[in-house]
Amino acid sequence: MAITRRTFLRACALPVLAGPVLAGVVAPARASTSLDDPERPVLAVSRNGERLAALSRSDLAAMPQTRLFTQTPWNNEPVEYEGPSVGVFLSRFSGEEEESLRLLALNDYLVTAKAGMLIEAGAILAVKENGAFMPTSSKGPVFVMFPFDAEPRLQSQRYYSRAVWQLVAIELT
Amino acid sequence: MRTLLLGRLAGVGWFIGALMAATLALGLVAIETSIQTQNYHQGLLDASSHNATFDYSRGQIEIERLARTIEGFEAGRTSRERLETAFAIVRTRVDTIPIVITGRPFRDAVAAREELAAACEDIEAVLPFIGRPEVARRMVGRLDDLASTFSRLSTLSNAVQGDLVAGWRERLADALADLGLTLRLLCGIGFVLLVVLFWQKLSFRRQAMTDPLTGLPNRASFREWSRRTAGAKEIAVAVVDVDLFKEVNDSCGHQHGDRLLCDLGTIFRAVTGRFGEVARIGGDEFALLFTGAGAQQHAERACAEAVRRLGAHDTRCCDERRSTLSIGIASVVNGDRSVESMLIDADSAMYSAKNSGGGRIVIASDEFRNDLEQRRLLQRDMASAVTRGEFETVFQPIVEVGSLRAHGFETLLRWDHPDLGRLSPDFFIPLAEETGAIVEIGRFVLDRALSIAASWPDPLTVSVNVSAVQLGDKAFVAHVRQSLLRHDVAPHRLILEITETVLIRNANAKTVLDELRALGVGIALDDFGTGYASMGYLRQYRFDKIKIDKSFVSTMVDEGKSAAIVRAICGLARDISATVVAEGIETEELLSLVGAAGCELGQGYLFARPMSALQTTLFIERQGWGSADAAPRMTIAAMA
Repeated sequence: MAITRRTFLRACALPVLAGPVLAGVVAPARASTSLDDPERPVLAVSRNGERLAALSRSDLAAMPQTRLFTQTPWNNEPVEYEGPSVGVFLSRFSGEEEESLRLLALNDYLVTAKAGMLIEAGAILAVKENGAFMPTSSKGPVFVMFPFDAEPRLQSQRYYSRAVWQLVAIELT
Repeated sequence: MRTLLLGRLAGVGWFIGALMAATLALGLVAIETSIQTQNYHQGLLDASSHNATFDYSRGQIEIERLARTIEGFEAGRTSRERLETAFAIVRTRVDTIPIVITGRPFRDAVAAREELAAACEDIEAVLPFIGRPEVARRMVGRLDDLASTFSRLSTLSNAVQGDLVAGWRERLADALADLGLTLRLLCGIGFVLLVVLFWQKLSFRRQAMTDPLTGLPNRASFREWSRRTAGAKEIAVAVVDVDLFKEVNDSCGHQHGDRLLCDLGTIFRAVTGRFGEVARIGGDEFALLFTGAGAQQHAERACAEAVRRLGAHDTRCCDERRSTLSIGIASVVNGDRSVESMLIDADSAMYSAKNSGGGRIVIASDEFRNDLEQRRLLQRDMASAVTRGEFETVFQPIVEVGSLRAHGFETLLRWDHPDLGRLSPDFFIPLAEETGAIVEIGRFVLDRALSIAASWPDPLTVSVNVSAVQLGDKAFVAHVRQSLLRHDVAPHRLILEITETVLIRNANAKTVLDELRALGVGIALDDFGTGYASMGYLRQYRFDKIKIDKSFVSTMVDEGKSAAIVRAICGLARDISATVVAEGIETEELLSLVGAAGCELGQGYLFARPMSALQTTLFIERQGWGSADAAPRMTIAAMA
């Protein structure tokens, strides 16, 4: 089942974007900050269309964190990224290694990846860049990051294409 | 031929060197090319690892979407939140747009990013009033221009990246082709190298199996054949040795010797033909091997033919002596013996031929082998015969021809073999000389002779035979001195009898004889007349006695010539102050003849046969040697 921008919006963003309709979701005072509120659910997790969770950046930051210090094709200087590893994250949803992940970004960028491949490569769901939460206007809320410098074999299209910024939904199948 | 072979091998050495150098060079080239290949491969990977074109296309879509969102917002169809999301997406693009393609800055991308960043700043500034139609229109127009820039950027980068990838791919393909060529060349050279090395090994092997002088197979080859004969029923081996080859080399030069060997090689090759094979197994030794039906006949015929051809061949050198061959043949008809053991028999047969004067063919028949075996057994027994007391000394008187008084006694040796009975020294002394046992036996005889002679009246002498091997023993003179002292016998009473052969076989005979003479010991030249009877020896050495061989003496009755020779020797002996002893006096007639010829002393059955020590003592007593004054003339009857 394909995740479209619409499903994503329905699943996660729409209630948020629709304003203070849902209880527990703080309506942003200003539009520019509303997207970047750490408490606001930004990452929808579903399995076979069934929604499992909608996690905020704080939720992700509360999980055991992994730090990476690496260069990327999108930075000139090495940058420190921080967030739960994919392994830790998926263990919350009793994911199997053979499970296929569909990663959807805010700009409708969609890729599939085997959970095992991401875990083996040491991917993390980075929420912080150089110690600060990434704003949506700069690759936030979540950036799938790999230790490119530590493992040169990761410096290929195979992994670059899985380094999804502005990640907003993960569907497990 | 040797130089030719060496030259060829040296040429091969040069060729192998060149091949190895080429292999090394190609190996280095291959390593270099493989490193290049890796670099090009990495370049290709880098060029294709990140697809910038895709990012530019995505950027174009996102910019257009933002433009449409602004239009929607201005028309009231879209929420501000969605507008902000669309803007955030474009803002992120500013950070993520690739401006470097495989390490090289992409100028158009840098310009496009600046344009995008500027547009984002402007939009950010007017975001609160973006709902106003004129602001919205201005921004939408700007974003549409930006979208075109990104569209062009994507097509541009597509070509640039394509060129880069193609460049790396071409270099990689070239490098791989080079590598392939180098590897094929390496394989080719390696193959040639293997072939050459294999050929060289064969050639070394051939060289190791061939005698360089005659071109015949050598001893190693012969050993190889021995293995090949396994299973053959009839085998014959002939060992051929050139007689007096050393003398040929010494007197005519090595060149002549070498030529003789080469000629022999040709002769043997011709006479063996297809029935057998020939090898040079030693300096002047050849071996012929025949297998199959009639092997022995073939061997005998071939050897006889070789001897005939050598005779017809002009092999004479400076001393006009013709070369002869000593040949031993061993054969087997039921294949139950190894070639190695046959070679030993053939060798023994050859030596037997040589010992009996050379120029002969001796066949190692069963009888010959039994004989040989017998000799070996005797030699084995002899080693312990002295300690077992099997040797016995006997004494034969040497009598003054004129007075018939005993002058002294010659010590003779007997061996009482436990199985074979009494053996004659003529038979076992050569065996003892072969093994060297003669030294111990000789000491025993000297010791025994002196111990017994010590009890004889003073003037009586005791003669002891000395063999060549004994004389060559370094401790001989010292032992004679010690024995004389031990038994308290005056040195002048001891006469050591040596033959001409002893002198010939000992290079330092003169020194030893001088030392013995200095001790006071007398020296007798034994068996004079049988060998070379060289006057040179008589001049060179000083002898106290000359013993004329019995073969001369016994023919004196019939042949006037012998008598004349004996007479001449006696005259000669007088001139050099030596006493002549005539051996083998068996009749009164001979006694008077030798007396007439001038011999002073005689020895033979007429006087007495060899006697034991006890009999000798009785003999001396009968002669009345009780006191030196009362020495009656004995009668023949009393002695008999």
